[in-house]
Amino acid sequence: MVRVRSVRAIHTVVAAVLILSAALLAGCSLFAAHPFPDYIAGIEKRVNISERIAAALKTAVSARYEIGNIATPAGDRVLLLIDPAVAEPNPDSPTPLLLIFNRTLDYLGSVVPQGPLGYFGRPFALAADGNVLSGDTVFDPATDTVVLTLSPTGLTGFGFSVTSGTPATYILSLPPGETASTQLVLSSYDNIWSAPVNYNVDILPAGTTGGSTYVLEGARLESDNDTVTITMRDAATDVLTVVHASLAAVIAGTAPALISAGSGAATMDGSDSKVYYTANDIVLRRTTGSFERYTSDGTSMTAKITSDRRTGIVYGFSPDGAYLYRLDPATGSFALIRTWW
Amino acid sequence: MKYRGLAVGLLLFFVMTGVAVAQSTPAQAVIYVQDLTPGDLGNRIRDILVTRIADKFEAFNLRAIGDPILVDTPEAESADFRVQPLLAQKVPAATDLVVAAIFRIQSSAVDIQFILVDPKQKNVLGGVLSRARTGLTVFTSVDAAVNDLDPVLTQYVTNRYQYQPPQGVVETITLEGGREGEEVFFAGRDVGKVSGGVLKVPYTPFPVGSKVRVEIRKPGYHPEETVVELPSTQVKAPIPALQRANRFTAGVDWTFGQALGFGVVGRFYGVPDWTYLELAAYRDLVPQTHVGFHDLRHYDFGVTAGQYLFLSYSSLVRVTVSLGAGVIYTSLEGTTTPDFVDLYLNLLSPTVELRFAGWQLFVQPQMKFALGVGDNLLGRTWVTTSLGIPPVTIGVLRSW
Repeated sequence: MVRVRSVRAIHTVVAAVLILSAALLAGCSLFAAHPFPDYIAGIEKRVNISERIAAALKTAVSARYEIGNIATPAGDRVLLLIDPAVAEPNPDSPTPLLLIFNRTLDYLGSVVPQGPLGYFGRPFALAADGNVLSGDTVFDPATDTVVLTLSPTGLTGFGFSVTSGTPATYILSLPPGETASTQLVLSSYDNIWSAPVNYNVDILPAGTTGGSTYVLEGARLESDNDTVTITMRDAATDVLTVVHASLAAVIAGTAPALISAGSGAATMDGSDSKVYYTANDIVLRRTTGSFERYTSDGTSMTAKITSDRRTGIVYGFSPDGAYLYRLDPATGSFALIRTWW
Repeated sequence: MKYRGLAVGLLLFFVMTGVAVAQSTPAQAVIYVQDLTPGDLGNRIRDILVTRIADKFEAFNLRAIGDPILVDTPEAESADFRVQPLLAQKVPAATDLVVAAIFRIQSSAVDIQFILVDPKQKNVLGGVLSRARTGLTVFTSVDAAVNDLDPVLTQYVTNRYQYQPPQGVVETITLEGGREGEEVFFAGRDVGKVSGGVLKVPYTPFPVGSKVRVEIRKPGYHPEETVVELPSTQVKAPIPALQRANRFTAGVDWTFGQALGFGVVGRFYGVPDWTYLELAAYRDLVPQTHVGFHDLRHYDFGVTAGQYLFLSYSSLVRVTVSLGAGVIYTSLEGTTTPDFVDLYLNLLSPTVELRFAGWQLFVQPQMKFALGVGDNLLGRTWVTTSLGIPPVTIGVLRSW
């Protein structure tokens, strides 16, 4: 009996040592791993907007949510779009709603689009006349009233404005009706929102055939008021390409193709990702569970943090990149989160 | 010459008659009844046994001498050598035979061991172990038990002058080992309790070479069954020490994936060492180095029902699965932001345990499915670490 116990004890100790050894070997990488997104440690504030969401949804059971962030002279604005899914519209159907918050998520007001064709969404931009552009709707941020509704053509891109010289508001987008293309369209609006002047921007050199087509993922006017940083996704390979274009050259019709020999285009793996822009960064949120911050030219990653792998969460970054905004539409939890760089 | 034949005939007649008379002289027998039952419970059985054994004497032409010897001994006394004090009893010198009945009442049954002893030769001539019911049927059932004596008495009466030690039967069986107080059932009959690591089985004439099923019980311990081989007339056989039937378990654990923390766990077993209800709590800290970030604290409370599978409670390695639910609170240090609350189901988390001397080392992948209800962080998904694998818990448990 004593011998049997001794043998069992030895077996137990050996097995325990093996398990602990395996655990320690694995421990280096496991030690920092946990099930929760790391960025939540940066939460500064949380507000519950479930009642506002419910009021916007009315009878709808689902909606499209989007966060747009713009810098205005009165401070940053967080634009939260709630676009209810309506199968058969009728006069009582819920309409899109844009909730407006300041930088620290204090509620400021809301805007609804005008007319049956009015809508919100990209582009989110501060127009040269001081109004705010979202989708095809221009509204006054001081009064939250709609100024006008633009012709809804080609308005799915990214907007920026120039206030020096001749003020103009620009929208860079794919050609109307295309989901991927070898060309972009730059639309220029004056301050009285006349019909836009459109400029074609070649992605690939003219005459290129059989090449890739691209999806526009982001565009930002740099502080020199001329350089536009553009991010495009190869529709076939998911490779993201970051290029720079001269606004003046595009308008003058002298701009070379965005991706061409000597263009210095930087590429990065864009698989399972969504692209966000801040003033100085490009941020990818990968659905595999991380946020990755890249330098403005997309050449190197400067910070990475664990994020959610769940779906349904909506994110946005403040224009200066200081804050991440996180909305859980299911619970109405809207969080202001300090970024990790 | 005329009467010579008659004289021889008469001589032969008287010789034959004398032998016959001598052979028909009744053996002188004494009744011995020993009660192993505590208290006065056995008095009635004792009286019935005395009466019935006396009836047997009459039926088998045995002549009772002296008064029945009545002995009352506590149950704690070693079961065997119940026959030793018997042999030491002062019985009348002329006694040819002692018919002993040693009994013990256990709940609704009474076990009776009958032994025939030749006090002159100090030999056990035979015996039988019998069982009767108590209660209203005690008279008839004791009658039936006493009737088990018939073959033994018949053999004695038939071969009274030729002592023939039992051939091919086991004379003594000594069981060694076990825990103090273990009850042993030999071939289904209670043969006593282990005392001092030894139990001498009351005399029962098992054939040499036979195998006997032995059941061992003790309150608070898992019963066990084993088979004892009886290869010779003197048998010493080991019996196992019973394993405690654990009702409770407590322990501490640590989880990969929630590294800076520790947990406590407690179990209550509905079926000892097999089926349990478990309460667990885990607390961990995620310190932050980024400026402006807050340390995170997670509090995980769970309740599960678990079931061991496949392997016995005495196995070195055991496997269990558990099913339950729980909640994880996530709070940010130094903020007033409300805690996040993640409800989850624990779906058949498998656990592997290494068991030794009452301790269990365990490894358990946490198969948690977050429900995504309430103000939660994880959403509706399997709970995995940032490496894409489930958290893995290791720990140590102690059962009692």
